[in-house]
Amino acid sequence: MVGKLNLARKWRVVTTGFCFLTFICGGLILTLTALPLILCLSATAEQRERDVLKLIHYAFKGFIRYMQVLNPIASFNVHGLEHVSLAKGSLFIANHPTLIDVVAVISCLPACQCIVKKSLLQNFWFGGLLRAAGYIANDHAVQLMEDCSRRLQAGHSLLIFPEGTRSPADGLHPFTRGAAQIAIRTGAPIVPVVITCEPPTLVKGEPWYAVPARPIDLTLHFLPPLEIPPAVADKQGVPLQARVLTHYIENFFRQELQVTKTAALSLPGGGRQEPARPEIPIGAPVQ
Amino acid sequence: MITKEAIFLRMQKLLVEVFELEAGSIALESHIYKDLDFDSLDTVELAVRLGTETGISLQEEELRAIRTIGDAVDIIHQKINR
Repeated sequence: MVGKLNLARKWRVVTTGFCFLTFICGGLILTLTALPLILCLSATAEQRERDVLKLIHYAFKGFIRYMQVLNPIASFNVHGLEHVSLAKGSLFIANHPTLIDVVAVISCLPACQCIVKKSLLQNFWFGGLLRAAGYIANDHAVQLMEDCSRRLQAGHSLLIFPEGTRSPADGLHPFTRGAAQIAIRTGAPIVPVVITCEPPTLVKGEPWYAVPARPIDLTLHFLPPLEIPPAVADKQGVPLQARVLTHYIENFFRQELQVTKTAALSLPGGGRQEPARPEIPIGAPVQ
Repeated sequence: MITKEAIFLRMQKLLVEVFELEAGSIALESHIYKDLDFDSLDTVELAVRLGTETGISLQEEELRAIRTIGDAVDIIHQKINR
């Protein structure tokens, strides 16, 4: 029995490696085939950007399915998609438990851009695609804010991981204030996406071949847009408002993660019953 | 000739007003990111407010070079007295 388990795990190391290879090569293949077609056929720059975003969306959708077939992913569960259909020009804010959750979220969102490291936009394998899709580099604060406003006003959505890096095991890093700054300056609705990955895999600092004991259950919960608490408007100026809103969002995620994990113990498929929630605290989160 | 001390005091007042910092927690050697919990957009906000008050404008490269309140005071002092 143990030998059989070990064999299954070793096989998953192979399939996980194959998934990485497919992802990297797939990026280059799309850049060399589909991207030139889009560049030729799209009438306007706006249309081009939308078409490339759609291409990435469908590619990621296919890639998630591919990972399910090859078995690194046992189940991919998405809840609350009704909040997505109404969320044009929204700010999607997510926790970041694993490397692949950006792929998972974008596979649900047909016109969503991301804020990424500048080095990723220059990546040989898929930098061309990301640039053509209008993904935003995070290196210049002022430029970043202008780019985000323009994209949101054009009706695109933005995905932001406010921790700035992958989440630690069993928790969250303190949230940076960029997402709150963007929300306050643009007035875009904030749609929280609570992500769970059981068992944890591809966390920061872990090599790709350290696969978990079993295939993962990846679950996304798209929640209704956040209602901004009055305490935010009570503050004068964006810097202070961003501090209050960031604390609020971080506390919200800490509470929701707790709810999700508790419910996952009792419901199959990562679903959850909606429990009565205590009020989200406004003050600085307790780490 | 505006002294560095005058610039520091003006900046301290601004930080208390805009960021609700305690005046006593602000010193020349205060690290704006580690001690005062700034992020890059806060630095931009501070530069805009300083620009409105003093008429000088700080470029993004200059903002990036600022690590402490003392760095900011030095840059502003140089620009004002140029």
